[in-house]
Amino acid sequence: MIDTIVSEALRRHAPRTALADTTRSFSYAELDAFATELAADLRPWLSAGRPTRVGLLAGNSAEYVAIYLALLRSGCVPFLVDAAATATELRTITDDCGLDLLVQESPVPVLPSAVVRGPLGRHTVVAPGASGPVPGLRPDTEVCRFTSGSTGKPNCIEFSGRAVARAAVNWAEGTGLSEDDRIACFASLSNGLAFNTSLLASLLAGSELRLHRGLPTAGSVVRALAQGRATRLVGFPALYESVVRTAASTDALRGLRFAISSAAPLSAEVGARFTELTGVRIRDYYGTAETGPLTFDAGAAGTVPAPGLGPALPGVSLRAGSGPGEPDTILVRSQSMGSGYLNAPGAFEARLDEEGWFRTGDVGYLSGGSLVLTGRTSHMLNVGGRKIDSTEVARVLLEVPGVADAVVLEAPSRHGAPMVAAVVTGDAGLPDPAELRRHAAERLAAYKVPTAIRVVAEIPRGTTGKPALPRLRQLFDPVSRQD
Amino acid sequence: MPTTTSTELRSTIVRIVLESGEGEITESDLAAADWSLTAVGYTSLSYIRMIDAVENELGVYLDPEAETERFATIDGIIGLVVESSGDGDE
Repeated sequence: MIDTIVSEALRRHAPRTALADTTRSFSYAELDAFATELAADLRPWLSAGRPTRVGLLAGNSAEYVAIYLALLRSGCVPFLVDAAATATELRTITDDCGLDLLVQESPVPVLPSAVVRGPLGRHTVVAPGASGPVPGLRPDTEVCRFTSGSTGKPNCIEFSGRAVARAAVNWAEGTGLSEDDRIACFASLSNGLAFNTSLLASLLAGSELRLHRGLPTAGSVVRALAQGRATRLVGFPALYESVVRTAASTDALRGLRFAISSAAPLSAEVGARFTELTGVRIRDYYGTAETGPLTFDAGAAGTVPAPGLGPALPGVSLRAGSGPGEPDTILVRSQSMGSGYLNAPGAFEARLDEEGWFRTGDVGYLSGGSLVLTGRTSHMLNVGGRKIDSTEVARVLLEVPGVADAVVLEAPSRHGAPMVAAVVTGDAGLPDPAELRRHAAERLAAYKVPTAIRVVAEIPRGTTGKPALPRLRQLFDPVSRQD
Repeated sequence: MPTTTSTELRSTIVRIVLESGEGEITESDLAAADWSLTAVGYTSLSYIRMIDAVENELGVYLDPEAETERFATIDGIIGLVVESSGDGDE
């Protein structure tokens, strides 16, 4: 289904520019032809009689999009894997989900045991040799994405073609995305922020998508915007913090009409200062991996922002608390909802209430229709806009001989930004924090590795046995530091 | 870029790297880690902060899309700064 609507859009917008990165650009007609060519190259490696499961493990590029379209066109199911995944994480994902092939950037397999099949454009196709039972995909699943999970390992979310298409159409409609727009996307396409605001939405609307990779420093953002004359900027809070911190040259930012950041962690001061510098207000993207985009604040540029993240997008229904004094669990129904977790049977269904509303794990209330977040019910951390499962990180620390207990939490860094922190207890054999970090870095993507680790005699706990997080957080307070 | 000796440049880079880190890092931690930023828990936020500060203080542009592995060590960063300021003089 996705292929049908994208192919129609590629024909409709044929002469317009569809995609660009720092090395090349494609018109819609050229993208169509390139995707067809890549689909033909893929043919010898496809499984007979069932959709081939293909992990796409790559950073942003114009070719990434062409490969994504070629996979859909070939009847494959693309699994969009975070390019920051370590070999250990990739092995778990491959075995859990029964991946047949991986498309990667390096010509040398990321997984040591994988076998190279051949080149696909500038990328390389490898057979990862998945082992273990292969879980069955739902018949209408067209794309799979990963979330930090609630089960101690990444959950693989299955999406029907209809859900992915509705996410894109509803976002484009709710935010007024049009063929006059040029999107500068600094978020990774495997991440929900870019997947939902940029990838398919851009193609269906006939916009121009300019893809960037690497760290979003103010210097690189200004250069990219000066070159691409973007009307929309998509990035994580770190990008906006950098622009504000360096008071970057703003001439390049003058053509911007929208700036989109992932929800919650961006501070009000950064938002206000960015608006002062550019005349553009940062809109918070709020959505979850499982439900797709949920709200959008469409208030005009320069106006005083209403509280919260905006009202529900088309195709989305929200339930939350009724006011600031009564925040409640946020429940969602959306046309862009995933169908279930491929590798954690029952865990997705457990998050639905009896009427089929999805529990997001966030808490908040509705103020004049606009959603205001006040906290979270889950043990997910949100650091720099990326979600991290604290249980997954704690489990990796507990593997280390000498570690008796480990709690992973969000704590303020010395610059005031949230960081991943860990508190551990152990016996005489407990290695030093640097060694613990090394162990974690070998097994977890870099953004999940604790930045600071404290060793204590005992983890303070409340009467329910839960770790006393405020007391643990104080261990990272600059004033109470022992060193 | 203002004229600096290689020793001054190195100590400026080390100072910026220590100031920009999210966690608490000392010069001896860095030395013990063979001057590798990754080994002392440098996060992507720390890298962005560091590149911003280097660009602001030394008036160079460091392209974060190019040769990312060179940002991971003090010597790598010094090399990038020297090359970048050389480009600017031409």
